[in-house]
Amino acid sequence: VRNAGDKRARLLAGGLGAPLALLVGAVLLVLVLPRPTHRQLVATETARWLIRYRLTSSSERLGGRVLHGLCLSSWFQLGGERGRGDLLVLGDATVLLDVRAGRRHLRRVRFPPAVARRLDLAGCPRRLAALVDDSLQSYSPRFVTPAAFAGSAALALRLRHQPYELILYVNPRNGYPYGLRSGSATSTISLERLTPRKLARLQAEPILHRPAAGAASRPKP
Amino acid sequence: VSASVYLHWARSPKGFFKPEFHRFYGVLASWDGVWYERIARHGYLLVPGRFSNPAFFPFYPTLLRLGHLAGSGYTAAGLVLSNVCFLVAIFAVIELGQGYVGAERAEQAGLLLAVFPMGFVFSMVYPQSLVLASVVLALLAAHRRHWAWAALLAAVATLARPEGVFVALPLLAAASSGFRRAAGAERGARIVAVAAAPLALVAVALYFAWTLHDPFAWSRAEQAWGRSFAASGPLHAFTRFSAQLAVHPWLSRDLAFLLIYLATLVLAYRSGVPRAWLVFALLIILVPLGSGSVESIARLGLLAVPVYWGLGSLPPRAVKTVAVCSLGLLIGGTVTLPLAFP
Repeated sequence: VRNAGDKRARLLAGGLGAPLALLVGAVLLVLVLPRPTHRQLVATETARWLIRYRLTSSSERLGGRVLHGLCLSSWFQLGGERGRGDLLVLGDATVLLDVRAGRRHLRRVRFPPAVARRLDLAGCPRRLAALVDDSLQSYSPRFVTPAAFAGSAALALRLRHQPYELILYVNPRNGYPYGLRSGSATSTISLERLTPRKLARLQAEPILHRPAAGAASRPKP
Repeated sequence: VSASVYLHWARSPKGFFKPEFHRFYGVLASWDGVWYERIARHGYLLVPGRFSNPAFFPFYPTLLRLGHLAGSGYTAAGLVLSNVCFLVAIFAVIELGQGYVGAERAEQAGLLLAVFPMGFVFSMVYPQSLVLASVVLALLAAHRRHWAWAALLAAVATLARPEGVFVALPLLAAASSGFRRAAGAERGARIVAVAAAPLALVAVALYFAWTLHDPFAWSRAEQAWGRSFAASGPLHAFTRFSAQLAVHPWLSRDLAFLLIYLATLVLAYRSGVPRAWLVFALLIILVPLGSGSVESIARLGLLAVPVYWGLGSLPPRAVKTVAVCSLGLLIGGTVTLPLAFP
């Protein structure tokens, strides 16, 4: 009887005990560690959209007028040095360039806030992705909130950005970015496929072929 | 801990840190410790293309959170957990080693583990000491035919660090010895003990699928950290070493430890450590080279248990010399922690 009892105990301990312990371990993880909210996961999808694309087209509404823009996030070769940055071509013929090698500006840029805001509202993909990533890593509960944008339901991502607040509106289901708001200025954005033709056109911008020193912003005549 | 207190007092060398010097144990909670604490505090979040926390396995931060729920701070919970596990691991290495290399050598192995130059990692808010204790205790349990405990401890090791899964190899050797003579129920228990570690790995993938909707979140996060594994990785680890060394001079420390680990495994082989353990140790040391770099091998190799039995098999006079040198290097390693990640 004792042998049979021992056998049964071993069967329970080994055959059932171990899988049960594993199950307890898995349940422990599920119960103890906090789980990201659905909104946080949507925000990570937004970051995924933004690193998948290199080109954004935008329509900025600033002071009652609409300004179209095209922003390329890429590597640029400037004066023999390579750096990563954004090239923004606006409909009023303004071209903005912000290129850095690490933390150092290759084209020294200290945009006045009004100009920097234009770059932000244009939704340059890499620039925006970095802001979304920084905000995600802050785990702030206020980072993602439900909102409406252009009459549609959206999630508002409040990006950690100085010196002004920047809000990115995204599709609440798949995180696709819709638009941006900073103060009273808004823009609608759309991620675009970078075709060889578009790339050639943007790379032909004279600002990319100037000597390294000089202004980064150039209004066309 | 003493070296950490000294750093707090001296506020030097600064390296990348400054806030860590504000607490006397701050440096022991630095580097990956910050990430484990963040997981315990906020949970997981996979940030595409950026350093993010699914690169770290979930069991250790789960214990930190449980410690916090019990009223302790996250860092304090981590420090207590790591140091208690390290103490348990030292005695378990001695106990298990007695059956392989004899009592005297096993005790020498325990002494050298206690003062091992990279051993400061065992006192940090890192899961290394938890995994080391779990791996060795799993085998002790298996040798005493407590298969349920062996399974549980193997699962804990794997849930805490991916290398924990390699414990299945020495467990397989232990379980297959006398398998035919075992009763049916015990056979089942042995099989479960061997399968526990791989099952725990699947459990981690399922957990990430549940929390992040991505069962491969660990591997994606590792890629962002620059650790994507390839068959040609070990070759690149050596062919690209000099170029990598120019950027990160501390890699010389990792290369030195890689050579020390391999040499001590030869000693372990000669002193009769079972082959399954040697294969376990080789996997622990060589698999990370698949990322194409020797980076962090000094830390990752700490889990290669036969290294300590190999060192313990040195003649007693040599052991004393090695122990004194190790202690000096251990103090040096701790006080330079602000300068380079382990």
